[in-house]
Amino acid sequence: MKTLKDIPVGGSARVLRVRGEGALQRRIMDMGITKGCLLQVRKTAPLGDPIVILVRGYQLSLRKADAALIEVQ
Amino acid sequence: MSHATSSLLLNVGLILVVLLVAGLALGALIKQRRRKKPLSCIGCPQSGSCSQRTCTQGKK
Amino acid sequence: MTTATRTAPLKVALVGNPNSGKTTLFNALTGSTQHVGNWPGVTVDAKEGRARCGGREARVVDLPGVYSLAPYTSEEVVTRDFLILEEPDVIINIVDATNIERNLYLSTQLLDMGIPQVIALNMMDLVRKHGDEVDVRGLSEALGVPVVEISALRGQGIAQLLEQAFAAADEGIPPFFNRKFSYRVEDALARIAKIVYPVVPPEHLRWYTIKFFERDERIRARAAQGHTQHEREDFSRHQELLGDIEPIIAGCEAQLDDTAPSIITGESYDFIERVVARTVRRSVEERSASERIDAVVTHRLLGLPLFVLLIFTIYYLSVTVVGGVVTNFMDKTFIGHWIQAPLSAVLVRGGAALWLRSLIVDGIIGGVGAVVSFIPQMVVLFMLLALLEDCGYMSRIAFLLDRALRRFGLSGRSFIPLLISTGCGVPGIMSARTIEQESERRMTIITATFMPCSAKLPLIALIAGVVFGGLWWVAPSAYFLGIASVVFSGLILKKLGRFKSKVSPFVLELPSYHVPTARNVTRSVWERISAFVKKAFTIILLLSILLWFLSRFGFVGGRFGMVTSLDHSLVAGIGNLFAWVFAPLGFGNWRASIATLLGLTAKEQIVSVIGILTSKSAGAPPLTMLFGGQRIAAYAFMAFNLLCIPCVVAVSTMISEMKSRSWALFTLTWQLGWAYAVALMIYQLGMWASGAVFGPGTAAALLVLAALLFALLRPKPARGDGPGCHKEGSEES
Repeated sequence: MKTLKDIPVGGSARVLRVRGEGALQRRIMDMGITKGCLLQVRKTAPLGDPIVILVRGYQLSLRKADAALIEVQ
Repeated sequence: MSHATSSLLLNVGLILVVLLVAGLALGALIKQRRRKKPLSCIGCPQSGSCSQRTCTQGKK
Repeated sequence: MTTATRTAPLKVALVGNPNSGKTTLFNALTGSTQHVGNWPGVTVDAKEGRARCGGREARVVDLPGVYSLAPYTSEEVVTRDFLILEEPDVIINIVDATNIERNLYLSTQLLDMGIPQVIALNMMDLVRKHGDEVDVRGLSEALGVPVVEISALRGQGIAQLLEQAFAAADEGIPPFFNRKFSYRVEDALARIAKIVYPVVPPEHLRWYTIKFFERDERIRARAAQGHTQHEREDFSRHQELLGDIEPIIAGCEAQLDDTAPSIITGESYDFIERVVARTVRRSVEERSASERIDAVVTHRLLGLPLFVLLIFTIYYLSVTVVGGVVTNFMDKTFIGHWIQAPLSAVLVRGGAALWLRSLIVDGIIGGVGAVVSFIPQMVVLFMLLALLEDCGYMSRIAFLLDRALRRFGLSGRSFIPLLISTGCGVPGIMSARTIEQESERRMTIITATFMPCSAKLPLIALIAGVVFGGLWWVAPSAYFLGIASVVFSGLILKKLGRFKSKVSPFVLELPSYHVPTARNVTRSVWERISAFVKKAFTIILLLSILLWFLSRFGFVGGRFGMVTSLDHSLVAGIGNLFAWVFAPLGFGNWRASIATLLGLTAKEQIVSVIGILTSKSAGAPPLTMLFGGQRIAAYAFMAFNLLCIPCVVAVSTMISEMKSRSWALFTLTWQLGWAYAVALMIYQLGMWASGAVFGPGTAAALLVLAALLFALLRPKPARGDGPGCHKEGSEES
């Protein structure tokens, strides 16, 4: 299964589902990462983690471990 | 007014000033302790009559 | 309701996303009438202020910035509980028009609550500048609430916003929000509503129904308690209630192959997408100014050096430039020559008693003055930090440093608490709240006060200046010591089983950069400085009087009275009681012990105490003699006082933020043990290295060092074996 973690910088992907339970899933979805939404990976931090994505017109930073919860196509 | 009287008056006055300042500081400190109820206590059935130490509602 | 509120001021709740301009709007609405808790942030005291419009008055409550009303952060819980339980007359929901989709997500949840409300559409000027358009009327119709365009920054539209809010409160009619979820969800909601209808307040029915569908634990518990006192006992009814609801939720989840919260969130955003598609017209995407700044500021190679340079500049300006010159001027010239000397002369001429003169000039003015001298330096530091906060750079710092800080069991967000702690530990510990990962938040609270706060600066300045004669590396080494303590504590502690906690994601918005506003910056500086000033004129003033009394009175030849030599004073007696504890650290005398002890009330006090106890008038030895003439002992004294338990105010903040007695105790033990171990190693190994004989103290210090190295290097155990092994070392001597 492809996740957001596998998308290279500059690449885009559409969200299939957000894995995880309770707070984990809800906190990510609350930020606008919901099924069908288009994400674009903008950059990675100087030390390689976290990443910045563009979602619903704003910039959001996520750790790679959390990005791995977001299944995309 | 003799020097002795004026210095006595000064001393009494100074003591009163020091006591007043200390009293004000103490008062302000006590008022601070009795701070407003925190937002997390809003809706708590025992709000107002509780101290943070005995609070069982806000902690969870 | 409406008739009663004619006389009483209306209660207005201000709700919105973080970075939506909420604080700016709050300042614009309430001007100078706002008041906060006395210690900014010691409790979650609501910031409150008064707003006037058309001869009427409203109490505006500034609620914490939230993205959602899910109950997963303390901000969310506070906001939600306030709205449901305090029943504000009207909500002002501030929405950032430049980031409208995510901001409206919170709005959909607020609209479900059934409370009268108005949407304040902020930053419309920026939207237009971009060439975008928002159909405000269409948005208002789609959401069923009044929408008012404002610019909080320029103060535009504020009067109109208040007018609309007052009107909404007067009518008392909830928004006409007819958002429909998909057919299957609405069906489930209708069936749940039928079950919960008798036990929830009717005006919030929709909200409660949705929350029951999401299996919201707090709402379930609230319903179990009953909304009113007499409903509370009926626990069995509640069990039955949940039992009836569960199959409905499970059925819907099976049909849609998703979890209930995910269904609600997803469909809410789908709804917003439809509304935005109808009402917002975006021009062609281009790289915004913010992104161009980020291209440099968070650049893979440039990002970190720029950050280091920036922080260095801030400290150079506030600590070295202003701190060195102005603080010295304040202390020596302003307090000493301009206040103390003339006052003393006047009192002598007026014939004031010697003891009174000593109390006023040395005791009170000397004690309070030592602290007040630091105000200019703190103003500069807080101002520079507020600039960074207000422009949006702080979240970039968290982004840049997350990877590095995670290695020490911290988070990128920990940097802000650590940075603020160099000003004051109290707001520093408070700001650790924004860290969602429990273990990382706790680690931040434990380590934050290792950073030398501004109250510790006088001590650093004193030791570096007087004992070491201004040796260049001494003052910076205090910061280095603090940072090293954070790093090594983190590395050692994160291996403990204690520091395993539930995972929660690290989601961090990188908001668009804004030019900081003078108003927000001055307000933020004022809030922090006023707390400091209050501290100086309350607790420090009182303690100065107490210390003056204890140091000038005592027993001589069995008679109580004023003493000429400090050695006979009460304070010497008290200090001598526990001076032995500090003997292995090189400062086992009563003066240093008393200074350390009183430092717990407020760290500024250490320097005040030393000042009083080494003043020439009392025939005391000069400062260097306090440490037997050994610089290494003075350094150990500084290290111990920098690292050990912070002042009482910070400790009480720490206890309330840890929300657990065992964690609070653990923190205090660790801080004390760590400070003792470090000071022991500095003094004993330092003395040994400079040629002293190898004694039991040296052996103890080597043992501690070995124990710490073991704790540092041991592999991470699969199961935590408790916080025992490494601390025995630090406590044995």
